[in-house]
Amino acid sequence: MASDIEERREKIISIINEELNEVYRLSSHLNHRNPDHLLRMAELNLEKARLYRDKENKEYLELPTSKRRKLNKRSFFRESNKYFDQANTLCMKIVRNYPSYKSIGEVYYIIAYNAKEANKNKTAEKYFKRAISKSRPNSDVQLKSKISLAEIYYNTKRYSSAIPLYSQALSRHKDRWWTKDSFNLAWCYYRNNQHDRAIRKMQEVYTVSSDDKYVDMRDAVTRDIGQIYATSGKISEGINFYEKLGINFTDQLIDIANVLNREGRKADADKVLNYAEAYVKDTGKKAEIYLEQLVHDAQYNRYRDHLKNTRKLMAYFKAKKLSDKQVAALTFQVQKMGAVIQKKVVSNIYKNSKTRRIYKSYANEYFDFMQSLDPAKKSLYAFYQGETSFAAKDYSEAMKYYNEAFDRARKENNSAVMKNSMEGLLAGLGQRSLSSKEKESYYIPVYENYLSMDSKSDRAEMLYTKLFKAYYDKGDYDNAEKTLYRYHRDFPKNHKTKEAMIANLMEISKKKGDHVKIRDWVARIDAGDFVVSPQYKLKLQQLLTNIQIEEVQTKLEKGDKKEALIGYHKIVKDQYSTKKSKINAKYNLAALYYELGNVDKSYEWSLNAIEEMDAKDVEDFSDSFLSISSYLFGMQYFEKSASLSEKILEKLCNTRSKKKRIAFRNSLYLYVAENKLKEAQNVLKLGRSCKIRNSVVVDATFEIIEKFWEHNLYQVYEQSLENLSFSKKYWPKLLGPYSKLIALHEKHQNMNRVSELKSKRQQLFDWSIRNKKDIPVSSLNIMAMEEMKKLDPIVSNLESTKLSFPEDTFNQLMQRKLKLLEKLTDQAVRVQSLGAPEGIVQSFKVLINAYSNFVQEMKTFKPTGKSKEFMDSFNQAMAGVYVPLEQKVKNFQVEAKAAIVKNDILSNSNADVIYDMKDSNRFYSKYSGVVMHRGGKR
Amino acid sequence: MFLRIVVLNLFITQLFAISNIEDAYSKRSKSVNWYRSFINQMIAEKKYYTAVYWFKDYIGKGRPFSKELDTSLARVILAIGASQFEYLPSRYLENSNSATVQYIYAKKLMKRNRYKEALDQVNRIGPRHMLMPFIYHMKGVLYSAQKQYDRARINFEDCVRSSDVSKPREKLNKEYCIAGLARNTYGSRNLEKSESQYLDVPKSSRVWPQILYEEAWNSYYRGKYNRTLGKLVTYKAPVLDHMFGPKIEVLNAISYLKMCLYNDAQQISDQFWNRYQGDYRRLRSLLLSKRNDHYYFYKLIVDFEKSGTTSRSYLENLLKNITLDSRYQAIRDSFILGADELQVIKGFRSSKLARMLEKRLEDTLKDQQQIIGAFVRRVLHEHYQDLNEAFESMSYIKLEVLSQRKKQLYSFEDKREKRGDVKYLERNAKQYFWDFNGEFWADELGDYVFALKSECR
Repeated sequence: MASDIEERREKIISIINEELNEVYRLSSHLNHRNPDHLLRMAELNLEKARLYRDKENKEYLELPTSKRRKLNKRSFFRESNKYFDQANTLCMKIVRNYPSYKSIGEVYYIIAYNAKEANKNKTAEKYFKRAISKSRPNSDVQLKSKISLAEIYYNTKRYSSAIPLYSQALSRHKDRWWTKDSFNLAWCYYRNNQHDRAIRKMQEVYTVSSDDKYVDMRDAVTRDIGQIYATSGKISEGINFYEKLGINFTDQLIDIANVLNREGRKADADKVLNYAEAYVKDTGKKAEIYLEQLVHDAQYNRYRDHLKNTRKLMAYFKAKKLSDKQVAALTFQVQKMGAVIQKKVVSNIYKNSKTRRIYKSYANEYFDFMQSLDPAKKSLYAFYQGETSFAAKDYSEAMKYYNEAFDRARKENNSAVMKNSMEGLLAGLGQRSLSSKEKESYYIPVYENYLSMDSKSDRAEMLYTKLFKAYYDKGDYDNAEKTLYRYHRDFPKNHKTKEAMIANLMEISKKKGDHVKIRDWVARIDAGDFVVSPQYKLKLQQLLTNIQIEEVQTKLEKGDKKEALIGYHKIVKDQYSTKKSKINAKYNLAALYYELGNVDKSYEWSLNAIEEMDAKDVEDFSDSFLSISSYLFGMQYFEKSASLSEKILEKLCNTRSKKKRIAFRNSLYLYVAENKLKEAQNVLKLGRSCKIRNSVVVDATFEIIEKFWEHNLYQVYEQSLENLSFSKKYWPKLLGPYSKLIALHEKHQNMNRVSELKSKRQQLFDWSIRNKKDIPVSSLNIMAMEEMKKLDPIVSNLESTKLSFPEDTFNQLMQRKLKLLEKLTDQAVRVQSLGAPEGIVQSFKVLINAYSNFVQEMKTFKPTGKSKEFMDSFNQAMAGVYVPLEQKVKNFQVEAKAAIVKNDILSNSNADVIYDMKDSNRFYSKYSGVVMHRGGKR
Repeated sequence: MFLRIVVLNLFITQLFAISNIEDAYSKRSKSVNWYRSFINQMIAEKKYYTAVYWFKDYIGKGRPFSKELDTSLARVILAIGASQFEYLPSRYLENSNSATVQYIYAKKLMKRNRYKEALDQVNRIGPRHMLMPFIYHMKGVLYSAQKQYDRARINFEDCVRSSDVSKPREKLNKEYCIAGLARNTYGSRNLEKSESQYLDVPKSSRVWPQILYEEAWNSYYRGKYNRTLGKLVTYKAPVLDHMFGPKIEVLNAISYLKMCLYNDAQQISDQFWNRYQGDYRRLRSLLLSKRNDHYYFYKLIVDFEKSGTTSRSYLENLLKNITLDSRYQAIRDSFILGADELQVIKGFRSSKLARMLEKRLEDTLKDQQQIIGAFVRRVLHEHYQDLNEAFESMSYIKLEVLSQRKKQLYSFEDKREKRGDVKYLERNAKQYFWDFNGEFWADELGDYVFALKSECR
């Protein structure tokens, strides 16, 4: 056969040589002017090159690998290369010399083909494209170019680009290679997911291949069509196809899947196996498929699929439908996958708890399967499940599995698993996320199980306490007590632990009110059955007292106040009562007496309680104490009320409680009311040291200094003023007290001091005016009156200056009087500028009087001995002066009225300055005002 | 030898003719009428060649033709052909009122492939014109060339009907028209009918050897390759050995090719190349060296005819072929006629008119020599072109053969060869079947049919 091919090749080459000669003869006959001939020669060279290349390829492949490796390929393929080069040269000549040549497409085809042969695929692609575009539609060369270009696309996996080229070309061009090219097209369809087309094309290739005019592709079709049938789900059609050929298709499916898998086309491999699964009915074969799927799933880490298939196989296993070999394979897969997934759960990769939880469930299911597949190691797999759940932080489940593992291991007598599961259980109990309820359900059995294994170790000692607590928390005090005894037995010297246990048990007794039991415990301790610390011993005594308080409290709650009072008194007197209990009892006594209306007792126990209480407690109960204090005030026990408030203030002194201000005020004002000025002074002092707000303290100070004045305590009064004057803020308010003091000193002719004090007062006043401070009206009036005093000499001067003639004297006097008036007016204005109501009204009054008197004087002045003409002239001249002054008087009145109205001035002199009000009625009470007692006594 | 005899026979009768012409000439004036009557007198005295100069002059001056003068010109055409006038510039011809001049102009246009204009010209000619059989022929050819096959057929039929077989020129015209009918039908692709019509051309006709080739093509196109080969083999008959041609060889080869008888086809191809390559070069060299030296080619054919050689070189065969061409014979006969007239005119040299006529006639005859030389050159050139194309065709045939062989090798086909079996033939009423045995019988010429089985699959 080989020699036959060789012979045929030689014959063909010989014909090609003849053709070449003939074309050359023709071309030279026409002086090589026809590009057709050049093209034909190129074609023939190309054909020849291909034949030589076939031959060389064959020879090359027949060489041993070692020899092939050393071979110079260029030299080996020189013959074919020579003709490829010749073809290329001819074509390039045509392209160069005959660019518009009608068959330029064919030329490009040859260039492209040569490039393809030389593995220059990009160049080949370029020229094939040119060949297609430049050649006649559907011409042979265009079709061949399309096929070649399609082949390039096919080889470079650009299947969708190859399809139109192949399909266009192959529908028209049917040469020997049609089958092979169509086979490629079928693959392109397949790769492009056009499975039906792929199958149809494959079938067509198969049919056409039977014709010996075409390359026989039947083997290739038989080999590959199965894959297409399989991956497109046309298994039954595939079976029909193969049945016709006498081939069992189903046997091939697994192989196809394996091939696909090896190609990395896992999805297709799966498809095939899935189709196979759907189609195959035989259990054994199905199991084979599932096992194969397991392998693929494992390979591609498809855990869920692996699990699904494992479930199916486990069903077969349980139905005893698997062979030993299949069981072994399944066991291997299950074991391996269980381990793999467990590893994933344990690793830190999955921060997402959901994913980890899923994997945990997978792994545990695999360990479940392993319990069926390998029942001898059930405890071990249960332990693995526990470990997996633990790693997934599903402690609840882990505990269940550990517990199960422990129980099974005990039955299996597997101490290692027992030990490990116990460790797991203990670790699980230590997890916060395990609910208390669940923990409680495990504490006792786990600890008991552990202690059954080991009761003397350090860990056992610790677990005894935990066990005790578990029983204790559960309310199983009997077992808790028994645990205490067991502990006492195994660890007789650990007194502290035992003391704690006893304390807990006594607490229960206390709650139960089982004093007998408590006294019994105390007795046993006293007897030396259990050694406890002295402090604890004392504590036990206190416990007994507490029991008593609680009893009293219960009675009180029931409304039995009498019994309560007795009980509290007992506690106060009991030598074993704690300080706290006593304080408690004292407060409660104060409260009880208050409720009972016993003022003295309530006051007494309140003081007692406050005395012993710390500031915090007093603060807590301050409302109650202040209520009692108010109650005392209400009951007119002013001094006691003040005293209690003072006590409260003392205790709250260093706290930030707001109540201390109330206590301060209550105490101070009540002392002041009661004229207990010393005590009041003490409270004032206390208030300052307790950092009561300054304004509150100052208000209290002003309150108290009035009392000093009243009680003629002038020295203290003066001192207090001095103290207050340190702060400028109080200066306006101090003007009044200073004025009083000045008056006192004036009274006693102590003029130096008056002068000092006046100077001081003026300083205060000036500053207050300057800084626009609110000055009390009384103070303003005082200060205005002081200023008014400056008017008096001017008024006197005016009044003493009388008009007289001769003329010059008259004129001088007039001038002098007018100047005095001006001076008076200026001073009055100054008084008014102080804004004191009395000062305003009085100053207007003085001005009006002064002006009016002057006018009157001028009107009535009659110089004597003067002629009528003189007099007329004189009168006329006088009128020129007094008329404006009269007008001035009127203006003063209007201004005075306006000031009174505007400033709501109530002054006794108002009527004097407003002429219009002369006729108005004025009302006066026949009584003086009533002074209220501060304490409300009178 | 041939010319000499003719001159002696005619001498006495011509004596009177010249004197009549001289009489007419003596009445010469500048009037057109005198010119017409003078020319008419020459025609009346059958001095056709002598009149050519005067007709050319008259046409060149653009003077109107009288009916009588037109008839005279027609007679000249019938006697010596139209070639002398075809070389006149178109501007002289195109506006003439003469139907004969229109005919001449139409011929000129037809040779230049301006068929529609040619038809316009001839369609102006009335049906009673003396040249009507030839005009019908021309119209048939023109309509056929324009693929108006029905009109062409009518004209060819009119030509056949109107041609008087007693007149050699019209007899030949008729034979051409019979062939024209077949060609027209062939042109309309009614191959079956045309095959039958080709058979209407009598074997005795000078047209027939050319028709044989056309018949061969007709059979070829009908897929009757055996018949084609049979027709072509007729050319190997001694009587037709001058009728060789590259085209015949090519048709022969492609017929074998069509029957997939590749060896035969290739053999013809190879033989053709071997046989004609040298001749081709020589012919090429001749044509290139002599180019438009028409007198040379005139001399060449005259010398060939004089020599009567039988040992045939390729060129001599070609020349022989030309001498047997009816077109050549027509212009050659025309020239002899002119030579005879010259002899007569020379006999009266003493006359001033005679000397003038002699001078004019000599010029006309020189033109005729040029016409003959040009014709020879054209035929040789055509042959050269045919040869050139035939080489190409032969190469392609060979390449096709090689390609087919190669195809067989590629497609693993077995070769099958079985030749000559009568069952592959189809016959009709006008054909005979002869087993080809290399002998030629005159009556059987053109009826040979091969019986080769096609080897195509």
